[in-house]
Amino acid sequence: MDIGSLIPDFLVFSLAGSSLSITAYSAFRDRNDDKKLLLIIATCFSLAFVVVFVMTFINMDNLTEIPVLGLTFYILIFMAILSIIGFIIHRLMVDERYKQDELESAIDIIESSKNGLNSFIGLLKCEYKED
Amino acid sequence: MAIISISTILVVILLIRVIYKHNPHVHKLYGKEIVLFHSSQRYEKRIWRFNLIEYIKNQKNHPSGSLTFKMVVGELSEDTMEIVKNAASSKFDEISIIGGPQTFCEDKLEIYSLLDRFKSVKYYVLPIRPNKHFMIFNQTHLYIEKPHHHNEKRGAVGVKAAHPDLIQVYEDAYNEIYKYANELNKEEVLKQPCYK
Repeated sequence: MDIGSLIPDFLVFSLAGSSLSITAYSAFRDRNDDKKLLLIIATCFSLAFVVVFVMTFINMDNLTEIPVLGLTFYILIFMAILSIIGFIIHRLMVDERYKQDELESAIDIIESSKNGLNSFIGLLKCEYKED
Repeated sequence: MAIISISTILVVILLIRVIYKHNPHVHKLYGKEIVLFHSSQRYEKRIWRFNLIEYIKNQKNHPSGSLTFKMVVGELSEDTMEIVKNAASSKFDEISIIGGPQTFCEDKLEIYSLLDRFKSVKYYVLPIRPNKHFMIFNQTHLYIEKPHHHNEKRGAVGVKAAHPDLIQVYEDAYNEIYKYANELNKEEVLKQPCYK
């Protein structure tokens, strides 16, 4: 089976898949892990697109015949897709950092509440003595 | 071609393993699931507590045999009452609420009917309004509110399957506060002073 004949289909599918998953990601209102999973799916599709895109380049019969303009477009599209993948990874890392910060502030709340318990009990004791 | 495919698959696996971690809000010193609620997430806070009550109810083996629910609140407000009602209807055997000396006038009748309807609910008041509010669900789970004034929205933290040491701190504090609390029956609730 000639892999070359599958390339156009693969290109379309991977592009459609990544756009669909990014659309689904934006449609989600809650910040949760399911939303992040969609970004990872989008990355998979985008990576598939990059692979297929590289394959089209490799499968060309005569590389010297590609016009300069065609080559420029190739490089531009390649860079754009790579930047999108980079952006998604960056987004995922920001999310992870946000979660870490949330955990830290949750721990802060627990600690401050825990430390203040004794002072309140002390206050109650004082009140009791006064009565 | 094979190299490209394998490296792509590797990148994806790495991404999933390194960046995507399901439920990373775990801390061995605090508990298995720590959730932070911002002051605007009133609905989420309620849902979390409702789900927790449902979860406790559906658990087959309870460590203590009977289901207990203890809380220290500033006042028995509408939100808290919803949670208490839910717990009482979910067959919690012992629900004790310790609140401040004052309450919202509009909630008095509700508290009255709550105490009238559910015998498992006990309501106690302290001579001063507590500034640290928390709920202990069946000696296992915690819900801790950020300190706030009675008319403010508040942030909170929910800890599912909290660390036994942390639970113990709150249990001890609860028992200590309990010594200074007086039980109110439904008639006495109607005479409780109101917030102006």
